[in-house]
Amino acid sequence: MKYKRLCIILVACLLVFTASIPSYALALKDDGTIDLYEVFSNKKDRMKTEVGSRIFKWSMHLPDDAIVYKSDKVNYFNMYTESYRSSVSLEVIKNEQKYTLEDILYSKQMNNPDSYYWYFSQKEFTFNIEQDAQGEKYIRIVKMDPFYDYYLVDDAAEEFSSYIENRIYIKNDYIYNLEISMEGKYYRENPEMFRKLVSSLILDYDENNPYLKELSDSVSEHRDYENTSYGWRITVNPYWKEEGISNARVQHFTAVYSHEEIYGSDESDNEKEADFNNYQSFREGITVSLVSSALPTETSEDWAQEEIEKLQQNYNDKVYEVLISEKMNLGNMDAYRVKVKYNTVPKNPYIVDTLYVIGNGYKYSVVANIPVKKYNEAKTREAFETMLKSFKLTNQRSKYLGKILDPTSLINWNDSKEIKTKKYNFNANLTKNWHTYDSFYSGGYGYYDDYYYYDTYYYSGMSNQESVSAYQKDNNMNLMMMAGFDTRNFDDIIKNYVQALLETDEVRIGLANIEVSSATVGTVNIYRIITEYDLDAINQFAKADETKSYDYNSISNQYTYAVKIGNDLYTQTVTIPLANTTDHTKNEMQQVWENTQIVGVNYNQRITNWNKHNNSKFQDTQQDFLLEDFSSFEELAKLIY
Amino acid sequence: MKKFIALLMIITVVFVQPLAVFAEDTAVGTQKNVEALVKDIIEEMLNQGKEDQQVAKLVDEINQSVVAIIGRNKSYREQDYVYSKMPSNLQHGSGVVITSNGQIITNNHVVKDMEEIYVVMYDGKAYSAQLLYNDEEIDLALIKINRSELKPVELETADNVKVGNTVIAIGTPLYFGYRNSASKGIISGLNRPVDQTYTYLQTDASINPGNSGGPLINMSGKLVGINTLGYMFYSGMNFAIPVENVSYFLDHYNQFGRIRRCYTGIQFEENWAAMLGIPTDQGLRVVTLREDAVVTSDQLQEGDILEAIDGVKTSSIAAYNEILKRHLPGNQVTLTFSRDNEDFDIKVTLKERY
Repeated sequence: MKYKRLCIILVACLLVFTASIPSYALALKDDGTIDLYEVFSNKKDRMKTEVGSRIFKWSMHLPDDAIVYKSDKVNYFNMYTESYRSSVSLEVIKNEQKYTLEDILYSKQMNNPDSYYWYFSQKEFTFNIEQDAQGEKYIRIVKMDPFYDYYLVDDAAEEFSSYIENRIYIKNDYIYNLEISMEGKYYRENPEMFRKLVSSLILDYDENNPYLKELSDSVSEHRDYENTSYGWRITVNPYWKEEGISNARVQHFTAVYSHEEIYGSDESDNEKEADFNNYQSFREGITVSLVSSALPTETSEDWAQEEIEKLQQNYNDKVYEVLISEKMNLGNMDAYRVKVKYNTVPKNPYIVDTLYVIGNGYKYSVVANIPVKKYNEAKTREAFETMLKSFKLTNQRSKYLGKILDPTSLINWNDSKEIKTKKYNFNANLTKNWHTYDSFYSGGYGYYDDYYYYDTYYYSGMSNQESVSAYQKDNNMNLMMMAGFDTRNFDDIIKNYVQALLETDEVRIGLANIEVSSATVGTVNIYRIITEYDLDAINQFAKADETKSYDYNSISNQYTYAVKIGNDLYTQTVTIPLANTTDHTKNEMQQVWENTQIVGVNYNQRITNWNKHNNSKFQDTQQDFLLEDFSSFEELAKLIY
Repeated sequence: MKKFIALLMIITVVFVQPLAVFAEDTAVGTQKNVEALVKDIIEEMLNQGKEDQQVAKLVDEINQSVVAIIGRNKSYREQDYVYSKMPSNLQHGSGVVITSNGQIITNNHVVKDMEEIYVVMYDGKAYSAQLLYNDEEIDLALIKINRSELKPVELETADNVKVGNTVIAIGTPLYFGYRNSASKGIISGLNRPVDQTYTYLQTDASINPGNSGGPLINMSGKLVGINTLGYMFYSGMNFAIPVENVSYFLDHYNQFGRIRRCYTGIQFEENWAAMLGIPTDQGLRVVTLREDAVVTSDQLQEGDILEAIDGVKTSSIAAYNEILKRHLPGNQVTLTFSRDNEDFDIKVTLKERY
């Protein structure tokens, strides 16, 4: 009993003592001597007096009051400092053309200022090549802003003009252009302050300098990124960052620097090759999206299999390869991974590595897009894979996040849908797979919706034209139906059109075939003109010649039907990108023609026989046709790119 | 020559005539008037001198109770494209000491998003402050520093606050280096419905960003308001939380540890005239009832008009809140409504809004 009481007293004393600690601590530091500079300074950066970039190898003085604006890569840097009354900018660009200082000096001097408005020009007073304290040679340009001469008389302009000096260096395979502009009056009174700033630029980055602030250090390490609106988290790779606003429904992450910039140019051969084949039809990086709400019975595997089926239906099997299709073990998430290699641009194939995740009642997709060249670099591939696999679901979601219906599950895509021209009796019965351009939402410009969505295309050689169009989403098929007044002879129209097609280089060398057929129904003539590219032949051709490159998403096979009734010409054209030309898409195309009516007649049902024409009959020995002749009912340019 | 002399004489006579009249007037009138005028001017100058001295003395005394408040605003996301050793998210305001043991009153919007609150006194000493209580609706906060023997400001009684009273605003406008800046003006108006919450006191004393939370003092050196907001780009249109609301906030805090705000659960819509400040007898239109409303849907329906509370007419939500402010949860009030031009009363027991 005695011990119990003692115990209680001890505990009570301990509690009183513990409770008094915060107030004692507060009293200790709270004698009114708090230094707010210490309090508000960033502890990590408090001692920094220099600023620079490890990647682009430079550093310079950082005044304590400086405000720095920088590009993502920190290859463009702008700093304003009130204590020096100066603004400093530094631009670093790759010296791809291997310029010398003399080349740049010549180029700068020979730039004819007469070609510019006066306010773009500057008054240079010095244009010289000099050497700095580190022994680096540079172009020194001293100049003034002509603005003051416009408003002020000579002496006043000289008095008030800012003092501007450029120093242009070439080092580390980069061109560095430093420009410092100091208030004129301040410069005249404190030239040594200007010299302090301008001479502080060093074209090197000292990793051991504790006073040096690396401007990319906010992204130089792995960081956790959490999307608190949609409930997920991912570990962002060093030197990667998110694009756009945070907490977006579709959040994109991308590398700030290229492989060469981070790791040096030891794989320069790859980079050089990429230089002229660097066209990318995709957005490199990783994109996380909340797609929609999930049904209780839905699994990630079902979802992924649906996507694979869609791919198989809509992509030519020669332009893709499914590398991985497997269930993933990522914590307790229901995840499925599908990795596909696309050869739609054979010179620059790419990988699409997708994680399908279902959790928290939602469907999430995490998609990594990587060029194969980079995928083959071990470090880059590892960076993508690590980040992809770091995806996790969290319970931190916006309180407003509710049900997001997947509209694809609400529509019966086989339901019929009619499109037709208004003035001409020309219509086609399609399925709902065909989308027309939305006219129910004007993007907030309701007053102008007629203007923005007036579905009309104009072609010369034809008047009173009218057109309607539609497209399919998963395979980029396009349908264009056009009618108009054209008094030219039908055979001449076709001849001119086909002649132009036959003149294209790819047709001439056998990479594409033109097939022209015609049929007659009563007194009405119908032409069918098919332009189809030979994927194998193009592959071979491009393989043999490094300078030739094709994007199979941009090259389209084209199927045109033309009918002339009286002086009215009716054309219907379906284009299918070469990458998307499959039995399924060709069948979709065929269905369009089979369900088309012109002036109330379905000509397809009445055609008994197509007569195939020899292309030589369209090849004119005289090359005197005008451009307008073949652009009359279709833009020829669409054929190639 | 003769003609010229004659002309000159005529002109001289014509122009000298008014001088005589003017001279006569001064001469007759009025040595006394001049003396009175001079006396008045001297008296005015002496008074002005006295007032100047009084204002200077007052500002000097009150300054000891006025503080500057600074801290980092934690609600802003740092932007990666900007770097500076200077913290970009500092925000500051003003405050006034109300107890000798370090309690300071300020605006809620000054300290609400601050990571840590720091107070800088008139003598330049800086203290870490603790947030005791804040209320977003009334826009007041009570903080405390660990310093004793401070000189608190005295609160004026609401009845002594009159339109036309000379007032002095003291605070930290715009730049932290401008701490304890004083500006003088008058009370331009009372009971101004600036927002839909409570009414404000209007003054033409200069109030700028950074003055928020600072005191508005009358010539007796007493607090008549807490400077809170003003119209940008217009002159002399500034507003302070009136001292009766400050007292309400402090009384409730001291008694209950929080504001015990009354609640009816009836949602109202203001009429457009009230929103534009046009005098009107129109009451507040009932929009909906919350689940825990003090009346039932049998008693009240959408479209009914609240005409008065305990016989006091109300046509704005700010005025409605001002009436409820005089009560405590649990009090009974009579709400007078009208429907189809027929008035009816409902006696309700006010609930507490948390």
